[in-house]
Amino acid sequence: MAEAAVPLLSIRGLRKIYGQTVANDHIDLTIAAGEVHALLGENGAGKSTLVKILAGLTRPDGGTLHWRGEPVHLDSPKTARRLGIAVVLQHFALCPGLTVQENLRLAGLDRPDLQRFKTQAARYGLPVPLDSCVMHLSASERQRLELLRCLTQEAQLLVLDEPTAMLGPAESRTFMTLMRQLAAEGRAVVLITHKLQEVLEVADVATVLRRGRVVGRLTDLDAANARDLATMMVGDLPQLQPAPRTPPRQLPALTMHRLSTAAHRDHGVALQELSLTVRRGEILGIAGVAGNGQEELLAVLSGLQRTSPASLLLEDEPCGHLGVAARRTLGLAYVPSDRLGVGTVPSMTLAENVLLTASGMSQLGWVRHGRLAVRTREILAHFHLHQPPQTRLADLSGGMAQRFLVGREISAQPKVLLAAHPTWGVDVRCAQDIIAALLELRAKGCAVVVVSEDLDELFALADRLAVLYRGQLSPAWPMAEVDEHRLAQAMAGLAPTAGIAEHHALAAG
Amino acid sequence: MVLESALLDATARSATPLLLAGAGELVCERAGVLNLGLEGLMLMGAASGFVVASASGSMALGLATAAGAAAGLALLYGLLTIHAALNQVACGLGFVMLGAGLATVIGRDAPGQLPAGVSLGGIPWLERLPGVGHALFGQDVIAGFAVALVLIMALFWRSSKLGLWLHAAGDAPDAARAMGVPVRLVRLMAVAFGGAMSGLSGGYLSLIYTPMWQEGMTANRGWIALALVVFAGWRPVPLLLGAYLFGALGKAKEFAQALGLAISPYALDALPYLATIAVLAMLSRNRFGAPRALARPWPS
Amino acid sequence: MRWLRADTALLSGLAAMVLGALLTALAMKMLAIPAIETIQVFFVDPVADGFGRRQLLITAAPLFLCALGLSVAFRGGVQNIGADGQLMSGAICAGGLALAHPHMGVLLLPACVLAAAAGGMLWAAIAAALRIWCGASELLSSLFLVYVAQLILTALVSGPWREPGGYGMETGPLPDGAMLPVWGGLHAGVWLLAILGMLWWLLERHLVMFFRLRVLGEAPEAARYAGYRSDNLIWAAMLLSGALAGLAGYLQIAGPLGRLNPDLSSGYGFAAIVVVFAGQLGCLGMALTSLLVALLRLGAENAQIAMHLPQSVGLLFQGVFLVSFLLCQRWVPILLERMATMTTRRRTAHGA
Repeated sequence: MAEAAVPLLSIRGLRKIYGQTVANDHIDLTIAAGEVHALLGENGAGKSTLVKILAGLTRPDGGTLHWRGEPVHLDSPKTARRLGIAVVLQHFALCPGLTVQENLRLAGLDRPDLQRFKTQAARYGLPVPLDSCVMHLSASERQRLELLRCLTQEAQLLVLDEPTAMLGPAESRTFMTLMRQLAAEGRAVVLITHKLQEVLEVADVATVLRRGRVVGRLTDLDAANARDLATMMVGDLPQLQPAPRTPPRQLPALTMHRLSTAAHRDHGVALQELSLTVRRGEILGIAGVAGNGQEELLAVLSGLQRTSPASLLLEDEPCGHLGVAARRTLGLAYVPSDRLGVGTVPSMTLAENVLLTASGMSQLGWVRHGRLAVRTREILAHFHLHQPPQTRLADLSGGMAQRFLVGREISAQPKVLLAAHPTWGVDVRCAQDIIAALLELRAKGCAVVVVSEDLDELFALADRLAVLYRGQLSPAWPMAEVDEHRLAQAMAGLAPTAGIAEHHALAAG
Repeated sequence: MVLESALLDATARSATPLLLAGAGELVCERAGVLNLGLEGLMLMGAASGFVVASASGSMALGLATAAGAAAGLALLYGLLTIHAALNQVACGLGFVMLGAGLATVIGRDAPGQLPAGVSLGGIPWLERLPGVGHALFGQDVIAGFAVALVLIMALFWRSSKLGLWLHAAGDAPDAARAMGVPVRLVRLMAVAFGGAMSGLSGGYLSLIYTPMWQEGMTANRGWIALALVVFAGWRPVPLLLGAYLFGALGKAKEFAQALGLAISPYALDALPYLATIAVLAMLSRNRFGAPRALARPWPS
Repeated sequence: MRWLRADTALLSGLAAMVLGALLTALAMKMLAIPAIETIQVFFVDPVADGFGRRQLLITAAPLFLCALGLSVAFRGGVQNIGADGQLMSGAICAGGLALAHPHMGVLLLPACVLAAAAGGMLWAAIAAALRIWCGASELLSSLFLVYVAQLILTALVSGPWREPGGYGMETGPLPDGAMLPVWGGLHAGVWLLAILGMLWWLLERHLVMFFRLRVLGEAPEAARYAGYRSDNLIWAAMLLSGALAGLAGYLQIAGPLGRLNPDLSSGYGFAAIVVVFAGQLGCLGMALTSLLVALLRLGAENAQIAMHLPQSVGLLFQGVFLVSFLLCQRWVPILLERMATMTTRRRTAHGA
């Protein structure tokens, strides 16, 4: 840091606009050689756009970049690599069916390079089995591979996108030691992450992004800054909505009882003994940073994955062993996160998409088109959509498709509705419509479970909030007891749950 | 001893067309393109090769034409499926008909047999190799060429740059492109190579194996070659073994005769097909070794 | 531009016909076949008289029936390309029954129909079982089953079932009770098929199973989300397509042929694949394209007699038409879309 007279990379007034959204809005950032620079922010804060610009995959709409004081244009990945900027993305650019060595040779490493790769691997203590197929490697081994490749190619600036998202606690520790070591050698490391603990441990500087802007910068990080960082990241908590809420009835609608799954494949998260009851007329929000078990939880609740009968009750009925169709009959509806291709079939008409999950639309294997048209019109009218039922779903805008999907699931008059970020990627007006519809559903006595990473959405909807972290669920707090501090800590894995205690024990030892 | 040698010769002759077409399809599928049109391409090669060889009196020219004509047709298939992104199954079936139809039109005035003297000799020194020497090199050079081709492929399969490009294009085209592999070009060339090999295979049938041109003379060998690739788990050495195994099955009648067994000839004819179905049933769990991007439209 | 969008299917069909005709003309030019005469021989002569037109319908019938069945499978992404084998299996079962029990009276015909459907289903069931239990691609297994069926058929008609004292490899004539009645020069199958075609239009629209198969084919993830059982759907699709192919085999032996011979299928199962893809899996489209393919086949027979062209020229034309249909189905909508955007852009540019 002492030699940082001319910064390695300086970014001034960087802008990038996609359609109507400003992904990066006048971002200024200075990165010096020898520092670990953390870049924090929620989903959609503009981090990945910035990463893509640095990788040379996307061109900025405005602003300047200076590399060692010289102005540069990162017009292709090759240019970035030549300068010495290496980006390790979350989804690695590797051919899974080829071996490690083959992948390295494809990436342009010849024999002497391979030798250096091995030397580097030995030096940093990062063993990678050269002759294994990449698809048989664990996430951490894949990451080591990418990192070593960058080091072999003499990278001076390493940009790491969520490097510890898929690593266990012990692996994360090793990784952080490595980052310090790289910085000590005079390289710069940009660390993109959600995890405050890591930032505090490893970073020299932290920059926080929110909605495409830099909202804060902290140097001299220590534990005392944790709360400041969390507040910057979460922003001002949305106002609790003043609308009077009907008190939930006491009857349980959905009960999880020591619900566990094994992690399948190498990157999945194992759910660990989740126990929780959702009552009728209540909306339960499940918050958490992406990749902490949300996909797994949704699969096991919706019936796409089955478990033991008694670990999940719909009202009083054990249903853990039942499949999707049987759970629907019991009164479960599901709004999945992929609205096109999973929740709906884009090439089909709206009426056909109603037929996809709606019950009572057929008799003896024969579709009742009259009823179907009536139901479709009802769903559309509920959200003031004016398309005829014969419109192809693909011709609807994203917001319309989402309202249609939510409307279809509501129209089944479920006892429990499961929704994965129901207002994700839609405009404000449309989000309001969806929120209103879900609140109305709650008023009718339906239990709603909303799994989301968007706190605004959860605050607009939830009566109680629980946080999912590494496959474990925090207690569900009533909204009145949720403050930003508690939430930010739980989401970043700082709350005193069992998993975090273990993390701390490791950190101490 | 004489009998065994004769059976070995017969096996090599019936395995060679399977091996050639199979090797071509193997490369093609490794690059991620499924070419169901083999049967048509083989017929195309058989007819055009025969016509040119009988007109020019040159065996070499005939074989070259066979490979070239089929490669041209395959290139068209490649453009349609890789660049115009047509459904590979439907388009491949279309090319079976296209090739078969074109072949009959091309070969409609072909003479009944090749002019005398048009033949391809063996290789004098290699044919004295003990055991397989005569079967591979004593009869004609193509049998030896096919084996050598597959062995060379095996040698460079994953160690040469070209081999890696091929594997990457069929494994994860997005990642491959990110690493600088010209995915479409690699795929197109693989399809053309596959076409050339199946053309050569057809030419072998009409110029050396039979030798004459007849409609439908490939007798489903193109389809069997497709199944062979599955049997081989998309690898060259097992392909070689598979081709000889199926070659021997194709000569089951001769074997039965030699052993003095009285089995219905229809049952013996059905043997390769039944064996293929059995092999598919046994080896298909988890798509054993299949290129992961096989027959998927790309970019998706 | 709205009207264009509604009729994209029709438009791409027409474009494919034009493209196919141009390409065949080009092919004939390159192969030095006189084009005008060929068109006359191929497309006009076969349907010049009433007999020819009846032949066309009789030829199109099994094609259409096979295609209806195959469209169910393809809709669900089930690649059953072995309809030819299922057709032969149906013919073997029905023909065998009729030859073994010629004196069943009025029961013989319905029994034969059932036997034909069962035979086709049996053959399709093998491929379905291999797909579901062993994961074997039904594409290859159904295809190889075609050749097995062909060999069984040849073995039967050249051995145990061969007509005593007959000349060729064929069975004796089927008993009258097993033959389809002839009404107005057309066997009953053609008439019934015309009715089935209209019914099919209703089935396509109303049958829940067809709908679910479409979901499975177009968005497998959505089928999983909706809780459909893909294994059961695949079984249903294979069995139904097999049954209809088997019935097509019965149409052949109890209609134009009147007996079993090794060439009774003459590739109808494969030609039906052309019909399905070219007709875009729709009932009306397939009805029209089955007439086109039937015309190509009759034309090829005619060309062999009149011009000494090999009969496989018909195969060439089928291939050309299939590829041009595929090309137009994919690209005509995209081109129309682009045209529409360009027009809108120009209009807005003027407006501004």
